[in-house]
Amino acid sequence: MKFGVLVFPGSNCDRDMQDALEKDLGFEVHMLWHKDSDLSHFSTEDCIVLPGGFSYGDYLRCGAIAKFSPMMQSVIEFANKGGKVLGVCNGFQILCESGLLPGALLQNANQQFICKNVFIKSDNSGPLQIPIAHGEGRYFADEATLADLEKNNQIIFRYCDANGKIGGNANPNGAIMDIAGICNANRNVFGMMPHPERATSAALSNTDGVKVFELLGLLKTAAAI
Amino acid sequence: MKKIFLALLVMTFALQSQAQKLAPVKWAYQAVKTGDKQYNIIITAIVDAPWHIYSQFVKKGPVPTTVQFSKNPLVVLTGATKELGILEKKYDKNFDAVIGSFGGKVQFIQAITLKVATKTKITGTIEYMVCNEERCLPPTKQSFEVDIQ
Repeated sequence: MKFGVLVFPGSNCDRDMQDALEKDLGFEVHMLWHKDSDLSHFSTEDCIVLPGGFSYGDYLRCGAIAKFSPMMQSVIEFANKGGKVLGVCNGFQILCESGLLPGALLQNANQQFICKNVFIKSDNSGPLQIPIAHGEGRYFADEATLADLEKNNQIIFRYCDANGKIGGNANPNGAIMDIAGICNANRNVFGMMPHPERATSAALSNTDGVKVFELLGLLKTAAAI
Repeated sequence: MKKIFLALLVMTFALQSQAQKLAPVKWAYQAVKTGDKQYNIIITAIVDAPWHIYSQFVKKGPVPTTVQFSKNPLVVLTGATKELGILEKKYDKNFDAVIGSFGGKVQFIQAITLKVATKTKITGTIEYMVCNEERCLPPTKQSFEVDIQ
């Protein structure tokens, strides 16, 4: 399995992602320029990552311009063929704008950029400490979409406190139903606001991000979500 | 002076560790299906004697028990949260009011209706204050989550 990390003008977590995947997790990584469109060297066993940052300056709406890039057209085709795609933070916003994931990311409830460690959990895990850094991370979707997400187990991460309790003040941005990350119905496209790539090194005193990659099925050492 | 300071320091730590150990209320949460897309969210408190917590409807004096549900667009709360237990009402001279409180087992029950038949999570917070005849512990706020299957 190898990874491709997409680079847009304004991406600023692409090198963090590359470093985490190559040095901490030991994967082969190819950087993909947004103006290119060739993904022929990737199979559906591989994964394309849309990293965090401010693609195209986040003008218009976060991710709204990035979805028109040549490489994103190839990523959409790749995902529709069953290839794995992970969007983190701005990458999650781009996936929602592209229609690969349902819903939208709205401005944080407190109208401020939030940069701090938070806890998230899946149905298969305890609390995992993962950093967030975003101004527009408040996940929102209509009732029908939320019902589908619940029915199909597509809510992969929710914000919680250090003890794993969802609710209360654990939700940093006001995301509906405490949603921190979702996947598509085919379970090959994943989007999440927290940054697992910033928590994969013991040198940073936090390797909970490794568990996130495991839960997403991108590391074959634990049961996937 | 040094000895007095040390004694105070030891007493402070002793009181702190005692306070940390005190948890006279145990909470449990469950959802009970009552009909098609209808459930009761039952929040149960077991309060150790001689402690008591206060009714939701206390208007004056101690902090009443409050249950707040987080917004979930798939769920409609039906009516207010009911409380089920042996309510003891008595005049409290400290607050110059008749105060309703619960000891032992008390349940806070909220009826909900799902807009669509699906599983989901109900989350929220409970705020409460626990007292005995001599003292009260600081008001506590804690999160809860209940799975609707």
